[in-house]
Amino acid sequence: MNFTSPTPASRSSAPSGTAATKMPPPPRPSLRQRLGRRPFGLTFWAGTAILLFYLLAAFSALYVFHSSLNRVAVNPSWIPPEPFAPAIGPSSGHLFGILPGIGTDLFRALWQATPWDLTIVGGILAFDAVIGWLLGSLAGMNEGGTLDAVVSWIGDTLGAIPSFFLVIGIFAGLSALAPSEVSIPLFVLLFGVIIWPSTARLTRDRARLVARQPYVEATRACGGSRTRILFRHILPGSATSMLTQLPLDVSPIFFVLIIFPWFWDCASAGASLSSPVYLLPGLPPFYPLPSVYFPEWGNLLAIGVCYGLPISTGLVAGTVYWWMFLFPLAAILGLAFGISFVCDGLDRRLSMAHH
Amino acid sequence: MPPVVEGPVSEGRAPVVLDVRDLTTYFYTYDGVVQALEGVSFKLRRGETLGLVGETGCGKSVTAFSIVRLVQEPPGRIVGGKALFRGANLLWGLQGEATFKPIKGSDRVKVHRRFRRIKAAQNRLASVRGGGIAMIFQEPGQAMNPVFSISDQVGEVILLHRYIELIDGLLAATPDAPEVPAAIERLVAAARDGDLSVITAAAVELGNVVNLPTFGSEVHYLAKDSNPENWDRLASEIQRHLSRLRLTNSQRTYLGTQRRLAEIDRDLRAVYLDEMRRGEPRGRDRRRVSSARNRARLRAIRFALPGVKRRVSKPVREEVFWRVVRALEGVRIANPVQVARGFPHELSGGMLQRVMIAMALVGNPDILLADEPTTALDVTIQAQILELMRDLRHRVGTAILLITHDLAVIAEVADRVSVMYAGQIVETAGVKDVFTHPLHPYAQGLLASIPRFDQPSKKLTSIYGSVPNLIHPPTGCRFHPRCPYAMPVCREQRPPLTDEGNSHHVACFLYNGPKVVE
Amino acid sequence: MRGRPVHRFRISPYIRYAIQRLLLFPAQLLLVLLILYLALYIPSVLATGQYSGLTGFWSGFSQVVINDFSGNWGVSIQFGGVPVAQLYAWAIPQSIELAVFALGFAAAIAYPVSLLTGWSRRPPVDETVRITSLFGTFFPVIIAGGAVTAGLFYWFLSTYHDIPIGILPNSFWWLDQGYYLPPSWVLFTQAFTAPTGFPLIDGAIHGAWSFEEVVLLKTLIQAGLIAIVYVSIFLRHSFTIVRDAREELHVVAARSRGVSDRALLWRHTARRVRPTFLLLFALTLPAYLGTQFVVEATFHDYGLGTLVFLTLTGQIPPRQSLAPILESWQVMMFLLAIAVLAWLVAVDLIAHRLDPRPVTGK
Repeated sequence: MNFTSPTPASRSSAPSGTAATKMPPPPRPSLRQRLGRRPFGLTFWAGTAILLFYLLAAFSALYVFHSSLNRVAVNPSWIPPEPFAPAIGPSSGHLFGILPGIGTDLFRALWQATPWDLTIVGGILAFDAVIGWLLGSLAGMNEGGTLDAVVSWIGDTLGAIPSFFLVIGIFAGLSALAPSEVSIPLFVLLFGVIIWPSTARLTRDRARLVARQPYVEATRACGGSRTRILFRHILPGSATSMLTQLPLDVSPIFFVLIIFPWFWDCASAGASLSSPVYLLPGLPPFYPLPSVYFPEWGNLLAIGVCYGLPISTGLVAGTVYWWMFLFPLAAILGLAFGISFVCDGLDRRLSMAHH
Repeated sequence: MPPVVEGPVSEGRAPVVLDVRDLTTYFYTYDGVVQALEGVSFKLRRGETLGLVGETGCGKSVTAFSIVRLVQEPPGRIVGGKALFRGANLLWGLQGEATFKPIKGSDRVKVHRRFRRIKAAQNRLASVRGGGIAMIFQEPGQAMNPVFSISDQVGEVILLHRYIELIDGLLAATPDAPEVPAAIERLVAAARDGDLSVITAAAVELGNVVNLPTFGSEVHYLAKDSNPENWDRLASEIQRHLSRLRLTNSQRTYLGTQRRLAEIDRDLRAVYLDEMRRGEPRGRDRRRVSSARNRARLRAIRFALPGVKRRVSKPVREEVFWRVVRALEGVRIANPVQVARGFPHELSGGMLQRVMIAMALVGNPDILLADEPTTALDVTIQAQILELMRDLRHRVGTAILLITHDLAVIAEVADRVSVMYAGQIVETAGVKDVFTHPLHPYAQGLLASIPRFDQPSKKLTSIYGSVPNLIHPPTGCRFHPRCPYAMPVCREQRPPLTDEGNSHHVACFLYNGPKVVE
Repeated sequence: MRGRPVHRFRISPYIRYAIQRLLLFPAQLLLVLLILYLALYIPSVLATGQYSGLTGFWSGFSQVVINDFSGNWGVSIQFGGVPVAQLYAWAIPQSIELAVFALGFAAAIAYPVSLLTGWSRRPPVDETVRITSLFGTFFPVIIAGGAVTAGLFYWFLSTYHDIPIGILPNSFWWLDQGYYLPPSWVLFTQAFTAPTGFPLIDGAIHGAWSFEEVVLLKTLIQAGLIAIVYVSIFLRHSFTIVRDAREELHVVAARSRGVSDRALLWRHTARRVRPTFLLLFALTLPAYLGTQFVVEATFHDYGLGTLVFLTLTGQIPPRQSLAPILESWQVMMFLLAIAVLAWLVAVDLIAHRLDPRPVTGK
């Protein structure tokens, strides 16, 4: 050996200041680098763009249609007066064509419907996310507690009944009491109340796992309060369950909004372009909207399906008019995809931060 | 396969079974490229235990995972180096598997992986894993599938690596040998006497008479667990167990086809090993063997019917079970029959680690990669597991790469030690050399931070600073920002590994012995 | 244990758990009924103003329970005074038959596809599954049903002289076969069959093979549609389950023992995720039922789905004049609750069997 090994004692005598000067300064990342370091991903930004577009459409609709926001403009001459009247397709005057059943311009009706649909979906999802996430996290955090028992019990029992049936049933009962003007807020409230337990149950399972993690115990051991644990660890940790569930809860909303108008307006009425009798008088107790002229995508899609795809109503003769159902469908799918992309992006971003 | 030279272990003369050179592994994350391993080289000889120590996050486990290519991909990627296992380069073909493109304006690198080639590499590696190189993990509870019984999981290794031997044993068994009734008599008599050693001897004898040692263990447990209530039934019980060795014709045919398939699998492994040894694809051989396998499978298709398969494979299943029991006996589990029937959640951590070791050793590996095998266990169990590993090394001659951050464990079992810092090996030496006169400043600091019973008055010191960020590792010697002896050259160049005599290797500019020639 | 004395009268923990779970079933059912009664009945009573205090509440509830269990479900006017219970007895076998095919298809697609897509590490696979499953979740089944019917209409008519609507052949198909009236085992304007109510079984009993052919083809078309829609809903969760299972340490450990990738996927991971898949199926059962009901209504089958919508529009009338539709709606909910709860019990027991770990009891 050609070097006497230095003793550890001599090491400790080395002034720490000199060592610090030797440390190379960490390269300062540029703004672009900092933004790009933990990216949300393309899908998130695409989703955000879609949602911004919908918001823009909604606010402009509030301005444009402010005089009669809850009833589409009906032109009686567009309701086919006699059998086998030609359908009016997309043109420069009517961008998305004419919806024959209620005789309205489809583009304007869809535009007018935007604020309503954003309110319905946003309201229900806000209910779902906030209550489901919070209660689920609290339940998972206090596993075996009273809240946990109550949340699990409600979740299990409501899980046994298809939620949309329950919504419609209760809605029928309540709408008999309330005037038709409040049917939309009532619908939002009811759906929110019915839908949160499934989210809470999923969140609870996740929160339970997070609460068992060593870092949570460490926080507790260091004297971290329960609120701190909830907000610092449990809620971010269980957000991924909520974010996975949220986009899926959009589909039962539209399921109800499409199926019931469809069945009432078309399937039972036998509506088609060839028959001028298209709407039954009055409304069934299960109709979630104030009237058939209400601007709402599900309603417009239902009417579009029964006139544009008459075979779906059981009428064998008929031509397919694609614009009547494809444009409302695109509006719904666009919103659903926007929400889903945003949730997926947030989910990925969160799981990245956690790993 | 190079001839295995028997020689004194730990003298450095035993043949090298694993030669790792310049192993470099990166993780391509959203924060940038984590340079987890940078030019790691070491040799492992037959029957030797090499300890790999270092702080958490210095790349010890990544080293083990990289050797057998179990690094999670994405984000991980082995970007260079060789791992020669008996002359076969396990990392052959890395270059063609991915292309790298830096993303402008960020630290990230876009990796385009060719998954087809990666899959081919994984298939190649499967020929080495388990049979050649086995692994045990830090968390035995998580390293076992919760829905499989212990016998299923250990048995799978037997079926993968010892199937031919098992079938030959079954076919060679002689349940109707003339000496069998007498041996059974003796065993029943021994059970009546209740002397455990006599029972064991009689059981082993019966196993020998039947020409199947596993049967010895089987009847041993049968006789041991019998009590006055069913002594008279013991003989008939033994006869019943013996009947599993009387194979029907279809069972014999089944065993024949299975043996053929296992031979083909062995040939395929040989082809893959050959591929890695020569460093060129041997597509024709591989296709030949796999078409032979397809033909053999097609010929055995009648045995694939569920009901038929259940019946004809019964002897195999039972034999596997009793082999598992014997393997569990080998790791000193007291009640192997119950453990084999049980599921992972029913066992304690120490028991599970024993099962893991049994599982690793049942394939007769040349190398055991032990990734922190005792970290999750309490001290008494830890001692038992270490004792077990030391004993196995002497008995079986397996080389062990022991990864731990616990220097006491290293002192206990390792022959040589490699000290790792920030993804690089900074010092390698015999275990005594490292503990008595460490050369690298990091190794010195590491040792100074252990409490010593023989020097109670000594002040404990810790190393200044903290583990560097491996996305932007320090230039030159990665330890230089924390090193009390840092010189200007340390910042600019990476120190080469030099030999300071007595095969004590160190990577530091403070020393200038002859360079270790690659 | 071999060689150990046999313990007599020892019930295995699994059997004990199963008995407990089965005993819990009636209690759960009563609970669901109570919730339904509260949720559906109270508003309707409030609407009509005929509230009669707490005694009335409990007597009303017991009346509902008795009516529900005794099959006193009212009479249908649209179906010519047939008891509603009889309508259900005819409709349920048809729905079950369709569900058997649809679930068979769904399982045959969903199981391997979820395993393969969850296992793959290639980014495009991940994106494709996400987007496909989103489409499946939001795409209205009525449009898919309408498009399938429209697309197949002329081919079906020219090949089989029938229209692809309903499950049983239409009246002009019978005419084409030389019957002025369908045979006596086809009841009620070609809606139901006798004696079992399962059209395929009844057709086989009476040896009507051309009938079998048409019915089977129609069943397959509808079952395929249900399966595709449902699988895309199922896939969204199931492939995440497989992806999580893939990252577990025991997969790496098994790989380190030389287990091939194929065995890892189809043996290790498959067995690991099977109990979770079952639970997932139980959780998505409402989505499945919704899909099947809409497809049945779109194709105008005389199954449970059509009855749901007939109930909704008040065409299956009540047994009492008070709160007419709600009562028959409640019968529907009662049946669904039984089906779903029974399914949950079954799934729980099967999952328990597949996963040896004990459930962490509270």
